[in-house]
Formats: sequence, C-alpha cells, structure tokens
Amino acid sequence: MTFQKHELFTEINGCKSLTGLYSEKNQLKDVSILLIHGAEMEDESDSTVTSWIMGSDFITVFAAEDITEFSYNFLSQFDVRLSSVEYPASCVIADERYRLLCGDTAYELLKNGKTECATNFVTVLSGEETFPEQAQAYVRRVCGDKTQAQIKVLTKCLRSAVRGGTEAVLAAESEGFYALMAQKTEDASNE
Amino acid sequence: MNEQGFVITEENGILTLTMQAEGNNLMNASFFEGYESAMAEIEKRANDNSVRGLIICGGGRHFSVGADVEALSERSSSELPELRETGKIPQGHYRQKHFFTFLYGLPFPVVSVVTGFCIGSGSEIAVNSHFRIVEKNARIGQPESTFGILPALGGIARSITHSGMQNAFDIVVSGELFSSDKAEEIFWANEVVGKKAGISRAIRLIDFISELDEEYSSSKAAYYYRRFLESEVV
Repeated sequence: MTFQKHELFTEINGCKSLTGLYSEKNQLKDVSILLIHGAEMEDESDSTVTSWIMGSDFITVFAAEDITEFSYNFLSQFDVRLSSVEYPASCVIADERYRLLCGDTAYELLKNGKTECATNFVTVLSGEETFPEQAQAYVRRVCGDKTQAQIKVLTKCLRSAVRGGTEAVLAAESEGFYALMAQKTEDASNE
Repeated sequence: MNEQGFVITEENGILTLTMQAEGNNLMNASFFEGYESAMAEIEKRANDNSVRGLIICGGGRHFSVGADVEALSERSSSELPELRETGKIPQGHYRQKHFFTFLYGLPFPVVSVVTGFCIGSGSEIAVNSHFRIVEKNARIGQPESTFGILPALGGIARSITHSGMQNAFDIVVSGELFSSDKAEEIFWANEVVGKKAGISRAIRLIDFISELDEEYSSSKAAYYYRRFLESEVV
C-alpha cells in the first residue's frame, strides 16, 4: 500500500483491505481528504474499522473503475464513491446511511421503490484519461486552489454530519466561518 | 413593500415574499435589514392557523446574486475583536443565521421558487426552505469556498439534507455553480419547471399538501413531495 501526499489530499494505491488501511492509520494524521483507489480491495466491513472511519475528520473518496464488484454495505462506509459505471439500483439499500449519503428525497423515493434515484449513490466519471487519473482530476477539481487550512475546515464541517447530524453541522458552519474569516483577515494584514 | 424592496402579500392563506432589492438582491447591509424585517414579520405569523404556506421568490430575473463579499468581509472583520476577546461567536451572526434557518422550522410549507442566479447566501434561503422549485436556466451555487470562507447560514447542513454527502462535498468544497438540470439530478431541486411556471407550481404544491395533511411537518417534506408527484401520475 502506498500513500501519496498531495498538498490538499492524500491518495492511496494498492490498498487490499480496510483493515489494512486501519493498521496504517498513523499515516493519516492531518489528512483532510483521502482518495482511495480501491479496485483491489476486499469487500469487508469490520465494526472496529467502520467506527474508525465514521469517527474520522477526513472525507473518504472511494474510486473503483468497476464499482459493481462491491456490496452496498462496503461502499456505504465511504463519503463519496467514484466509478466509470453506474451502480445497480437493486443493490442499494434505503437505510439511514443512504439518507445521509444521498439526501432525504433520494431516500424517500428509494424507500418507496423508485429506484431511478439510486444512481445518485455513485458519481460516474468519464474521459480520455485512465480511470485513476479521472478520479484524481475529480478531487483536484473539487479542491481547486483552496488552502490546506480551508480544506480542513470544510471537510470537518461536512464530517460533523456523520457524528452529530444537522445541528452539529449548523454549529460547525458558524465556527468554521469565523475561523476562516480570522485567517483571511490575518493573511490580508500580512500582505 | 419595505424600503429595501421586500414585499409580503397574502392570498388564500399563502404568503408570498417577493425580494426586489437593489442589484438583483445583492446581499449587502441594506438587503439584510429589509430581509430580516420581512422575515420577522413572517415569523410572527408562524402560529397563525390561517397561513397554509410561504413562497419566496425574486421580483426580477434573479432569485439573489448572493452576498457582497467585500461588505461581508468588512462586517465579519469588525466582529473578530469580539470573537478574540470572548472566544464566542458574535451574537450578530446567530441573529442573522436565525432568519435563514428558522424557515425550516415553520409549521407550513416553505417553497423557494428559484429563477436566474441563486448564489451564495441567496442559495442559503433556498436550501433552508422545505421545497425548491427551479425554473429552467437557473444558475445555482455556493461559491463561498472560492472566496476563502464557507456557507455559514445553513448552506452546508441543508445541502447534506437535500443532496447528501456525496453531492454536498462537491457543492460546498468546489464552490462551482451548477445548472437547473444538475440541481434536479442531485435532488437540490425538487423539480425544474419552465420559465414563469414556478409560482403556479408552488401554489399547486401548497394546495396539495393542505389537503393531504392538516398537521404539516417539515420532517415529512420529502414524503409530501413524493405524494405530490404520484398524485399527478395518470
């Protein structure tokens, strides 16, 4: 397994399992966005590892060219899923995790048998580059030219939804806003 | 109409807040003054049983072009000494945030009819509404992150509620604008309708919900909308 640290995100290649990733968790300190090229990973969900992922401050982006090889339970551990193919609607489960990942409307529709909304579970990428390059380009595009500090605050806000729901995000937004505004003011006065 | 350009009308139990402030509803100090005053009036009607719904729309081509970033920076910078001294987020922020987030708790349907640009804090009015009916060719987004800050008036929390973490990550972190079609695809929009068709559609939705459920609850918004769509399937 290799960890490639970019300025705004960390990329993992050759990861065989989440348990393996968990055993290397010390390498993930200060990571805000984790892009996992997971085509070779085992389809597993271990409660200790799942708790660790759920409790982390970083956003997990799972990328696999053919995502149909993985179960819903495995894939739903990640915040974002990227693939070059759509995920079969019949494999998606209308549970609370799906609600968090895809939103209230998609959840309500799926719960009532409207499976067309399940395409929202995976972001399908296309292009002339290789799939891993497309996945990397996706994360680079989302990050843009933001600073490390900004990405950290933004991902922390998003991740607070996993641990504390809407109220936690509302509180995190306000704290994050003033933290960034203070940073912005400091940067301006240093220029 | 208040002097900042906010008009509240009422017809058949439906309140309509039309925003026609200067600069296509550019959210400067004057906008917020008028907006907060209009919202305070709406909040007073929260327990009025004769109110069946609220529609929020832009009076011109655009819903709102969002905050005046320079004015926002100046205002927020002036609050920083208080923050440093007390370690607490300024009360002014919570007051302002309240006039966005309270919409979600109103006991009747709140529908934003989105036209033209619906940007930044403007989009935070829309996401704090229970429903978003978007007219074709609208451009939507939360570009705060591209200015070094973030949407702090419910924008992140409600983006997750409506579009899920999968899409909120892109909306909030990239800050890129997206089209009405994309808004529908990611469930930011409940529905995309033709130009000038948003208000009548919102009225139809409120009428449907009034007949369906006497005890309205925003937690059932997705359920109401599903039932509304199903009611139209022949």
